Amino acid sequence: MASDDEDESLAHFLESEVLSELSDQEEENKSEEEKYGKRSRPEEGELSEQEEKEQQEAKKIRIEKGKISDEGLSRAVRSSSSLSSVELELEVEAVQSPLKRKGIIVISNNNDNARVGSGSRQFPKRIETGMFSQIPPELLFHILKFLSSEDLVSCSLVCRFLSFAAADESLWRRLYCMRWGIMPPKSPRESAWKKLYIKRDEEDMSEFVRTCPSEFKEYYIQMQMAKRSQTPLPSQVNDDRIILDKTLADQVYMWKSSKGLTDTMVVNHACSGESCTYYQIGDVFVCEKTGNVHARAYLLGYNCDDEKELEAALRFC
Amino acid sequence: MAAETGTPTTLTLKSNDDELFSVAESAAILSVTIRNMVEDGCAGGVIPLDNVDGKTLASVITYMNGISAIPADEEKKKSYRDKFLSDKDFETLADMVLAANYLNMSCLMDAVSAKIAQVMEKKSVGWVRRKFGIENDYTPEEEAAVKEEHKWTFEGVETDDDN
Repeated sequence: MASDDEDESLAHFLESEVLSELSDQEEENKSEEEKYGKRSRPEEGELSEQEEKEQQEAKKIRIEKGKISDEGLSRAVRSSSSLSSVELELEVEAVQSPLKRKGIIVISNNNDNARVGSGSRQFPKRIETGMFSQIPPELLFHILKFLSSEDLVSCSLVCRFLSFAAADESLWRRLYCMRWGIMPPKSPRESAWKKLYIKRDEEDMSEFVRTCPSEFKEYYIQMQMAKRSQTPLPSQVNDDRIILDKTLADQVYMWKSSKGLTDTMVVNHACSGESCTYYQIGDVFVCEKTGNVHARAYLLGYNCDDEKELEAALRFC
Repeated sequence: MAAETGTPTTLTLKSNDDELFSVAESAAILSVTIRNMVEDGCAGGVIPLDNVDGKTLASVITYMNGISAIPADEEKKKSYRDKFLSDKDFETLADMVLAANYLNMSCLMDAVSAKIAQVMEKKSVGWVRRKFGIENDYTPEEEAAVKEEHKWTFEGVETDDDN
């Protein structure tokens, strides 16, 4: 369904993003370290929750890079951005717990594609003409977060870049979860969130149409259509921020203290692959080397089919 | 213990076109960028904001003052934001989103982004292209393909066979 091409180009885009972001982020990390290095002296001991939050926020590096790191980037970029990019799920998760554990592990297909690399057609890196040309792509991504599925589909018809941007996994995951809750798709890698959304929408629609009394059919269809124009609320848009609940934060803090780890950011270290091991506390995974906190293995760029594979991947932090 | 002692309560911000603005520190630290400077004790003199022009900065400061004057009441803050953004044209919104990003002000960032998104809501493809001056860079074949793909998506409501 024409998506191979799209995927490949996406891979292309992601690759180049990785490269450019890498250098950006390194710089940012550095300056951040300077800042925080100063602040987190040992005698300040109790890093209060609030302080921690502040740090997180400060590190929420501009427009959540998380979005992209969600996909393929994380492995490469992760290093010290720990809390900043740990984001997502946790908040949602705190509310609707155990069910979706598996669902969360779903890794965007992008991840795969990013690795496969080298597509044929290139997506423009941004919109070249008109008013959107002055808005950098990462900010555009943020804007798209506020659109409904219907609007995202319109966007994909406008031009290539918007089409690429509006197909972003995190956007569709959000819309999907808003509408149906976090239901674990049976086979994570089968499709991307956008396709899942579309498929489910279609199923719902035909189900409704089939089961409703025929005199209400019009009405049901309209109702169903209305769901496509639901836009996320600002509070839902910010689900990419990590919310460690207090007890968890305390535990993490205690564990870190016992290991002699401070909240100082550690640069030049990417928590992934063979570089380090993790310690699990509740739902988060703490890198034993740096104390960086990761919410989910998939944020580290792992692509896991099931719990077992996740387990294996998590032997590294 | 960072910079509590002797911090001035008013900060001076300088736009990239050399306009100077005085802002109460309590309002200015809505910007995490500025807050960090304050905490690191480098907000003593003039704070240069190289990525924000005077016109936009004036606007942002209006917002800072307005929103920080509202006590912790999310409803009221929201309606202030709505009102604040209601008369801004797209050009201004675009400038503000850049500024909010640079200043790291997530509440403004979200509000402006949502506002821009609102402009695009429920609009036809043609309208979006015209309004924002976006060139259609699809080849006719590609465009047809994309259309086809999404048409199937959202118009495939032909379930009459069953009924």
